[in-house]
Amino acid sequence: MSTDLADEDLMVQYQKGEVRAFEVLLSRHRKPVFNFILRYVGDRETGEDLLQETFMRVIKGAEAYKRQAKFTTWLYTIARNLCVDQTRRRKHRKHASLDAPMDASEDSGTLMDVIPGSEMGSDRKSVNKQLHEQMQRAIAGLSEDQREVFLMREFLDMPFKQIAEVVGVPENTVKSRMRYALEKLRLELDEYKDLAKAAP
Amino acid sequence: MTDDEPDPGSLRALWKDLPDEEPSARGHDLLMAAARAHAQTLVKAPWWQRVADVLRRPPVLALATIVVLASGALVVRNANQALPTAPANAPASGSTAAPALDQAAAPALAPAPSAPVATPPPVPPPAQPAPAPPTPKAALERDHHEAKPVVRAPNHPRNEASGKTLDDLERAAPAEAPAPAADPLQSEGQAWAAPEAAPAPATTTTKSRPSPGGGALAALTVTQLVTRCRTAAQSGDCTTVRAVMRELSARSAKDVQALGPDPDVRKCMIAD
Repeated sequence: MSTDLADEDLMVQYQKGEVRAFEVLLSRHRKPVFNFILRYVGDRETGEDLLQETFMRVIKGAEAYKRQAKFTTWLYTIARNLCVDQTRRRKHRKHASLDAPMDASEDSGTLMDVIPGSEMGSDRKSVNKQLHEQMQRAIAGLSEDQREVFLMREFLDMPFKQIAEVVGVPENTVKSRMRYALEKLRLELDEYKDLAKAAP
Repeated sequence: MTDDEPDPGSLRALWKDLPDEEPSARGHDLLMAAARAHAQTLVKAPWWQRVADVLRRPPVLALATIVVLASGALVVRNANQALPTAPANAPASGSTAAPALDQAAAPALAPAPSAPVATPPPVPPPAQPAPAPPTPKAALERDHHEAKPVVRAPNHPRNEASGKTLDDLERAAPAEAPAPAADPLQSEGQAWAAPEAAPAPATTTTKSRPSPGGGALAALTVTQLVTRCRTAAQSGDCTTVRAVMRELSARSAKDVQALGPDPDVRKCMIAD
């Protein structure tokens, strides 16, 4: 079994009962799918559950997979639908947010502040950490429609056409959402632009 | 990047710097186990095995049962329709027996068309032609084989099966059986031998016959008369022999001379 095969060929191999083909697919896409899910839902544990569920659906749906379909489109459609479902479920629950103030008073700290960090305390790392946190907050602040488009475009390097297929909207709508997402991020992160340039 | 695509500009450096996180390995083994288990179901069985699997399913079995029952019912029905026609065709001159057979077969066939397809119609007993009156030929043969001792008794015995006298049979035989007269006449000859050998019949007869000759012999051909004369002579029925000889002498002297050397005929004539 060659690991250089395209995703679609590997999927066809798995349809013929070749387990090794699925193993290659899993090792190839596990990390990017996990990071997509993690940035979408913002929770590592939920992200791992959804990652597992995504590949379980790939296994169950392998029989119905057609060679003509792009594997990553199918894979990220599954992952995105799971994320959407998860987000909708979470809206109906009352979770204690890490970013929300613990008390009603504005000057009280957040949960994030009291959780001890594992990072080293150097200035550079501190700046990076601050930057990443701010970046994650900014991404989490995007609407769901904008966030999924932004994640797929900027982190997975997907073409707009493929994003449109995954999301199920016209390509122009995807571009529009992307533009709004960037404008919002620019507003949020403008003050960190110089900091990012300075970071290694 | 195309012209209509929004350009993130220097902002991209911010998120490109975000590190990717590694998922934990806790679900990996579980996924591989599931993939292994599902791969066995993905492997397609050979076509004959798939066909066998399909045939073993309950709906297919039920359909096959219905087909077998329906075809069985059709076969039984066709067999029932074929049965009555076979005996009806058997007798060569069964013009009188055929309607009776049809009537006998009709009740047996009547329920068949209205019977449901799924359940086979009740199998009627094979049609018995016995209740129907036998044909003249069959009656003659029956007299010859079954009622030999009885035949000698009545002067004009009535055929018990058909209700006809021998005269009736005698008249009907040439008309209905144009075949060579050897066999029926031979049996008739034996029947003709009866009146003289036996006394007056005690059985039921519709009319008594005054003599073996008379109008009945006049209806026979010369060849039939010769045959009857010989058979009557062989059986010792000299009355019939003499009556036939009288009839023959009126028609063909040549045949009378031909019968002359016959020792049985001569015996009867001498006895006369």
